Amino acid sequence: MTKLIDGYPVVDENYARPAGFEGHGTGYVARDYQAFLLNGAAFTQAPTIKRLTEQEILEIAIEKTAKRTWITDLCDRVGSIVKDQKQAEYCWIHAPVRGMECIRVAQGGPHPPLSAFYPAWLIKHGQNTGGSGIQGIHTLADHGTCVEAMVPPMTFHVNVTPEITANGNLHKIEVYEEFDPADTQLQMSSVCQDEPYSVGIPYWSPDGGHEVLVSFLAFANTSGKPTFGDLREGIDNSWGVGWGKNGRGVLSGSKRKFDEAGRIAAISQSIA
Amino acid sequence: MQPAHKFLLLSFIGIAAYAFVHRPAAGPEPGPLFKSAVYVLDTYDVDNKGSLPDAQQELLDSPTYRAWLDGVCVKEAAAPAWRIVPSAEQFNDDQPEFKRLMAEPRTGANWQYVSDGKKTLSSGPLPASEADAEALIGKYAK
Repeated sequence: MTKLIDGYPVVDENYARPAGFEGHGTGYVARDYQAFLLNGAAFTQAPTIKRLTEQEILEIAIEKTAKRTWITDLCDRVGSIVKDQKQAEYCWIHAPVRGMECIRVAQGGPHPPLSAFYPAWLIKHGQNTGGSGIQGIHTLADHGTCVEAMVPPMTFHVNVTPEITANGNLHKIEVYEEFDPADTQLQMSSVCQDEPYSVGIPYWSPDGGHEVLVSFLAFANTSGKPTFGDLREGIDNSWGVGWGKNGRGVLSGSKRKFDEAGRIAAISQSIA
Repeated sequence: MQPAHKFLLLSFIGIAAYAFVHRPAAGPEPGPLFKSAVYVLDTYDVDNKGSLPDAQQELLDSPTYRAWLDGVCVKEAAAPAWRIVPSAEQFNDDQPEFKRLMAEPRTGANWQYVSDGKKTLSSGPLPASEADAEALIGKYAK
């Protein structure tokens, strides 16, 4: 039986894909971090986001959970829901696109669903295969993505019209940053400052990895005084609202070992 | 006096008497005459949001503040005209009023602008709390 935290399913080493989701795709393949992790080399990029202390993260998480001010709560307020990759192997682009949608909700203005299949086409050219969320973020910064109504889900071959290109240019990631995938404190600093991040989980299931968006934090231990060690990454998955609690779950155990992580901090605004 | 003139005179006296009896009671001074729906642009330092005082972080994160803004801001393309965005050079918004406001001078990253769509009504540091922000914007918003 799946464990729950605050109603969210816990995705850990004992997690089994629930009935009804056997056909849902995953599709994450590491870029080149496998070598990085094996070698134990240092991540060289200096972070730009403020690194919060463990105590600050803990206090913010307690307050945001109590007052319901996580970015997921902002999304719930306006009915912005998680994405659904269906049978496609495109989790790696759904996670950052969902990050864009969350930021768009927080920044204000219209927030129609954005297409994950348009940027997937730009990278994979129709191949239904795994990829890297970091590569996805770079593509979303360069080309943006159009609204989902123009390139709906499961569109593997996109006839890129000038209208689609122009609409994509209206929705770009403007500010982003790549994190050391092992730096939990910095990553949690990001989500505590309302900036979700896309993470690659190399061993989501026996059949492959998965990319998800970390959008809130949850407490593994709800009895006694909470500590930083109790915090777990809450995710917007890309299996539709039928999975987990409205499409969200909580990572635990081995599923918290990432091999890529990318913060999405700001996107361009458009009424179109 | 012609009967018609007498009728008009009596009518005038009657209306004037009615208006005097039913005149509004003396009340508080009226507020600004031209309160209207507004545009609100809040900016913040995207890399240091966590350095802000708690009440300002709450302001930027708050669902209730956003819901309040929904009620007082202009509706453009079916969405309320407020933005809470990083104070970044990369700002890109196809609403001309927000571009205009973002281009206005400010002496800090954490800032707030209120406008009526044509001119800036207020420009100053980000209010200290949600209550302060609503009080300030409320001076201009209907």
